[in-house]
Amino acid sequence: MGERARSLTQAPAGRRGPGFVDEEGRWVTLKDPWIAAFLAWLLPGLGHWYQGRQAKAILFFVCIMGLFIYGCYLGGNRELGYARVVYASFRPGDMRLYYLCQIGVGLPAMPALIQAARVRQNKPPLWNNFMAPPRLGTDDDNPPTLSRLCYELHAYFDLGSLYTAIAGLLNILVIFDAFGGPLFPESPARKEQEAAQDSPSTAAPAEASETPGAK
Amino acid sequence: MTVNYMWYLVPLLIAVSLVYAGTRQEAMPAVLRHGVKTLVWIVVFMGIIAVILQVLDAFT
Repeated sequence: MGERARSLTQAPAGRRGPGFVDEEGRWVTLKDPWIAAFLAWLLPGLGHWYQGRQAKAILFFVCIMGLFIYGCYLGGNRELGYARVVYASFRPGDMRLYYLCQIGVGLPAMPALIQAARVRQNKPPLWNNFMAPPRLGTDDDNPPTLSRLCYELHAYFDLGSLYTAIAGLLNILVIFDAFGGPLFPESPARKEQEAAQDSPSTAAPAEASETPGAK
Repeated sequence: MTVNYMWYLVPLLIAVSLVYAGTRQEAMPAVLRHGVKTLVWIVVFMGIIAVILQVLDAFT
């Protein structure tokens, strides 16, 4: 907590906006943190790309989108439709709380909202049931019910749900990183460096308070 | 062909370790070093939990 607060300082001369000094002593600017956080939610890594932190942008995009896409692949097939584990359903009998985690990846999870809106309006889902909520009921017709999805996909339904939910949760960490910079771990060298930086400012008031007492 | 479901843990562990490390460090070499440490920490922690569960299972 304290580490992040100390590392977030005003820019040195010639630089504008909030930022921090990285491990190699370079100044990293966060540009507009709110825009960066929004972009980071919209697409994993996009907020970091906007800030010029390309290496981390690629790392986050590959890791998070890799998990999300693989989860979508596991949680579906050609017959049932892909990404059947990512769907927005808050109906009695089918409260899909996983979606609250999955929406953390932003735009890639948005088709589920379109499909949910169509189902609410009694329209057929689009795109071969991609991210469509399962039909309520017990008979196995098309689109398939939740029980049929679980039966057909076996454990892959849970695995796909897990992968996609964890991808969304990881992106929340990434959003915080885009907004405020990394939460550097406390290290002895860094503590000493900060103590050296803090000492001139703390020493002056101490001397000032001691002076009247000495008289 | 049956696949041991534990293998599905591997990409999950790698991604979680790297993303977590990415939110704790800025320079890429530091991110990778931190990622490896996090990966080892998670594997050891889960291994300890697995051993405890196995021991409990043996006595119940």
